[in-house]
Amino acid sequence: MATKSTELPAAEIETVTAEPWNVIVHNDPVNLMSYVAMVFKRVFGYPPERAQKHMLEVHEHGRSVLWTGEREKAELYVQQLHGYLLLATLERTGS
Amino acid sequence: MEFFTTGKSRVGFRQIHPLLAELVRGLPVLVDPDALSETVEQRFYPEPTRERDHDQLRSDWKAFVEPGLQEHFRSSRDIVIADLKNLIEKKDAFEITIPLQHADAWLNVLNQARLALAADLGFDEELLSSTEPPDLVSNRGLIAFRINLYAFMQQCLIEQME
Repeated sequence: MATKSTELPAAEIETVTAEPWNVIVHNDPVNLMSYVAMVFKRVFGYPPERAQKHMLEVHEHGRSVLWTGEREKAELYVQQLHGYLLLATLERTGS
Repeated sequence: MEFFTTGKSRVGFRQIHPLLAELVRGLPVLVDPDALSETVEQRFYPEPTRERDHDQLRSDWKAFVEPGLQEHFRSSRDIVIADLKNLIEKKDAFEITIPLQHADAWLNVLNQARLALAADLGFDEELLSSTEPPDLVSNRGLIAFRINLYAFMQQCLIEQME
């Protein structure tokens, strides 16, 4: 029997694709800025400039979105950030 | 108190005033997992989300993630306790050397200690970033001094590791 591949219309793909999650880091007056930037480099593999940019965003605006993607990976990142004692949370992108 | 390195594999602090040596020796007590206040526990183990409708995520986090974090913090503390046996008196001051591979554990414990002190006393950004001379008469002033001492040690380790 012949099989026929079908492509889902874009609208249907929207409904079956999992909604991405943000990994947010919140400001904390205790953690050193150099420490926070070091953690961003280690956890996300960001280059120094990008780690510094996110660190300053946390410091000046109270929070920064560090990463966006699938929930499982976002949970793993938050777990790692908690291991470094940073205030990190998950948030759905639509929130 | 000054930071130094010995070869590529060890780092340390020397010329540590006896008073500061006592504060360094007191690190493990501050982060004793069996003696943390509720406020400190909440700071060490924050919720994974601030969204309201994720009770399942919160309970799963408590059941499956927190025990791993507790073990991580505990093992860092154990490493620091072992290293503190090398805090020795030299003339009128103290000195300690630690393997560079223990630097992560030290960073973690120094951070735990600073967070615990700040959480228990409700320290805010203004107080912690103050450039005023430390007020060493009040308890809060002494705690701020202690937090800054540990910050100095953290900064030395970070610069060495980067």
